[in-house]
Amino acid sequence: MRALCVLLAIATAALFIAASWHLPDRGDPHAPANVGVGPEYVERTEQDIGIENVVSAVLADYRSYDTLGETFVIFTGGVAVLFVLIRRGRDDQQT
Amino acid sequence: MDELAARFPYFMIAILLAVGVWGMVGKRNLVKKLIGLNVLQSAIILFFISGSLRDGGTVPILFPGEHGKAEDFVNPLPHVLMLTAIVVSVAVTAVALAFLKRIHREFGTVDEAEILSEMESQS
Amino acid sequence: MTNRHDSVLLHFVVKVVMVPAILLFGLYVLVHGEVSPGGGFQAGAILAAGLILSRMSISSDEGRRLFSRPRLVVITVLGMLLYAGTGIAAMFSGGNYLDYGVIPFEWIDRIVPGDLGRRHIGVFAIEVGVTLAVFGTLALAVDYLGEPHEPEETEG
Repeated sequence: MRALCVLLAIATAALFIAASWHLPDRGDPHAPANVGVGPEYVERTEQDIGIENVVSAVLADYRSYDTLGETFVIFTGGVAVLFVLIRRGRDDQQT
Repeated sequence: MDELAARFPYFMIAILLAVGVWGMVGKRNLVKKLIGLNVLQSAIILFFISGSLRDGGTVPILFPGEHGKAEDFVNPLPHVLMLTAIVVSVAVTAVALAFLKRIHREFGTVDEAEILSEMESQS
Repeated sequence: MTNRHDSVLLHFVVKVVMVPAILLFGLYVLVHGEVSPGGGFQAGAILAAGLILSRMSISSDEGRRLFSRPRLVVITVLGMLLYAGTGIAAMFSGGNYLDYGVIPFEWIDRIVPGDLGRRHIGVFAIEVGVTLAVFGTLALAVDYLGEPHEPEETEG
C-alpha cells in the first residue's frame, strides 16, 4: 500500500516533467505566456489608470470583477467556518 | 549547464508535486493530508510565478509618470492570478481545519482508519 | 486563549513593541498599495496577524472585547458592502459596474485633482474593502478554530 502511494507520487512527478518538456525555458521573453495580454497591461496602465503598481492596477481595476468574486470566496469561507464550529446556545452566554 | 538552469524550476516543482501527492494519498492523518494539499498548491503557485519571468525584467512597478515598456518588466498577470489563488487556498485551509475540528469533536481522533472503524461501530 | 504564559516581559514585548509595529506596518502596506508592493489582501493578512498575536499571547480581554465575534462579522460585511457599493456608485452616472472613472462625487476633485483622480479613489476604496473583509474573516476563523477543546456532552 505504501509502495503504491510512493509510486503514484513518482508517477505524478514524471508526468509533470514529461508535460513540461516542451514548455519554454525559464525567463524566455518570447514565451506564449509573456506575449499575450500581460505586456498590454504594463504599457497601458500609466495612461488608463495612473497608479504605479501594475499588479494593483490589474487586480483592482482591469480585473475587479475577479477580485470581487475572490472577496466573496473569502467571506463564504469565513461564514462556513462559523457555521461548522458554532455551538448552539453557548456563544450567547460567552460573549 | 545552461540547459539545466533553464529547466531547473520545472524539476523543483515536480519534486514539490510529488511530495504533495504523497502527503495527500499516503498519509493516514487528516491534518497531514491537509498539509499535503497546501504543498501541492504551493507547487502550482510557483509554477505560474516561474512562468511570469522574463530575462532582464524587473518588478512590475513603474516610476511616477513613467511610461512602461513591456520588455523591462516581468509579466504582471500571473502575479495577480496567484495572489487570488493564495487567498483561495487560505479560505480552503480554514474551512478544512474547521471540518477537522468538528471531526475531532465528534470522533476524538483525526486518523482516517480510526474514524472509519468508529463509524462502522456506530452504525 | 491561554493564561499559562503570563509574564511582564511577554506583556511588554507584545503590547509595546510587536503588536503596534505589526498594525502600523499593515496600515502602511494598505495605503502604499498603489505605489509599492502591497495591497488589500496583504494588508488584511498582516493586520489579522497582529490581532491574532495579541490574542494568543496576552491574557487580557481588551482585544477580545474590541473585536468580538459579532463585530468581526460586521467588519467583514462592511468590507464587502464597501467593495460592492463602490461598484454601484459608478452606475449612478451611467457607467458600467466597477467603472471608477465616472464615480459621481464632486468632492473627489478637490482631494485628488486630474482626470484619473476618481480611479485612484475607486481603487483605494475597494482595497480598503478587501482589507476589512480579509481581516475580519481571518480573525474570525482563527478565533473559532483556536477555542479550547471541550466535549459537547459535558455542557448538557
